Amino acid sequence: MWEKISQSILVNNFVLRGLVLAAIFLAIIFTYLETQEGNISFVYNNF
Amino acid sequence: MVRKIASYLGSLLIAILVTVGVLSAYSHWLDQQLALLEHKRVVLDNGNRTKDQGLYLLQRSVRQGDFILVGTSELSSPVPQNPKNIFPNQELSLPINMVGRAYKQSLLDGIMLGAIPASDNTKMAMVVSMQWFFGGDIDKKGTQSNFSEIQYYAFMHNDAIPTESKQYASERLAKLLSGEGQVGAACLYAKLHSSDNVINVLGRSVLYPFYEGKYQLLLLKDKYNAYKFLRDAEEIDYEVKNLDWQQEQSKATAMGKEKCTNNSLYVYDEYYDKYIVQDWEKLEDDMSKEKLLDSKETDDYKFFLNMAVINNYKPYMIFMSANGWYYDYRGITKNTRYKLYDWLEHETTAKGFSYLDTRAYEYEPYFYCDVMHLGWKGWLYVGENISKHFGK
Repeated sequence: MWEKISQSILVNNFVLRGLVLAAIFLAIIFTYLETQEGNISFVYNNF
Repeated sequence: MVRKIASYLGSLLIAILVTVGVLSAYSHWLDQQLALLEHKRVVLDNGNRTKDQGLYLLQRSVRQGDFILVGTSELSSPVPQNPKNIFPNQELSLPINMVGRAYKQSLLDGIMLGAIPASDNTKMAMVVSMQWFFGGDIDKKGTQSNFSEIQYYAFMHNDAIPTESKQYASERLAKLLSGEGQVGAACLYAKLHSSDNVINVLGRSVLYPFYEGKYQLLLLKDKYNAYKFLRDAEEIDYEVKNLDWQQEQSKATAMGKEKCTNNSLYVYDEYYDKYIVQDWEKLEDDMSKEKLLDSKETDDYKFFLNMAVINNYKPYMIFMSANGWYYDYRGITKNTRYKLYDWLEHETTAKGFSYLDTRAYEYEPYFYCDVMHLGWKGWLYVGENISKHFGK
């Protein structure tokens, strides 16, 4: 019985960990979508 | 122990699968939203970074057959004859998309063309300035501020572009982007693709997943930015102007006369006061050593022409001369300037493209509004010639 419960928690933790990690990845990526990286943010005009 | 490692790897796999799944669903949703906005007519002025340094909005213009006008700072000339007010007209009735800002020159324009193949009916004109050839090489800061990472990666992903051209662009970018942290990843990518030595090949293999992932994220970001822009931009009426070119020239002369009153160079008063009058003595012959044709811009221009050929563009090239009185004074003689115009015409003709030569107007009052930018009469003349060229 105890072994079954601990196994179940392990399985749940393993899935939960994956989901938490995915949430972190997505938070980083959606923040990135709002940033200016990729194009320099300053405007240069020397004329 | 093994079980623990397997558990952590499993978590990572789940995280990756969920992330990729959510992003794919989001990308699909953006595609649907963009499809709904496909025919929304909006202003496509130059200087819009989402457009000029992105992919989606330029591809949209190519797909829809807009008239694409590529240039630099003259696109922002403060005259009513600015192309945004001349197009569409009775002879060229397509919506206009103006692309470019100061310092976006042949190298970056060539990369842009290499990233976005033309369609069968793409109509594109490009204004080339004499100032691009000053100083031996192009402006580093200016190039950095106009550089588009997504266009560069798309260019490098285009199988139609020969390896030598990719190496040429990468070698130039590796040098021009160096020292600027915001484009550090692209600079390293450029270095790794500038030649095929062992270290570069190895570096490319190791970093392939990173750059491929970054490219995919930039594509998603580009779609997201385009969606936001199209969603929020005001919808405009599509008005085709009916212009009497001769009558407009008379109006342009009158406008120029009104704006240029305090100098004999025929530049508008505010410009003369701000940029010329206080340095006038120092400017005499200060550019007499300028050769123009020694500039690396000449190789970049050849690169641009090659990219146009490879990606099926047939650009109409506008060779913008300059204010003759001003550059005579600074020591860039008519002879030096004409050598450049001759060279541009030779290279352009060799690729089978048409061009507009404006050297005859270097001493025409009000053709330029300042020392280098097309003005009241200049933009009208260029606009008329573009219209007639594509309206044939």
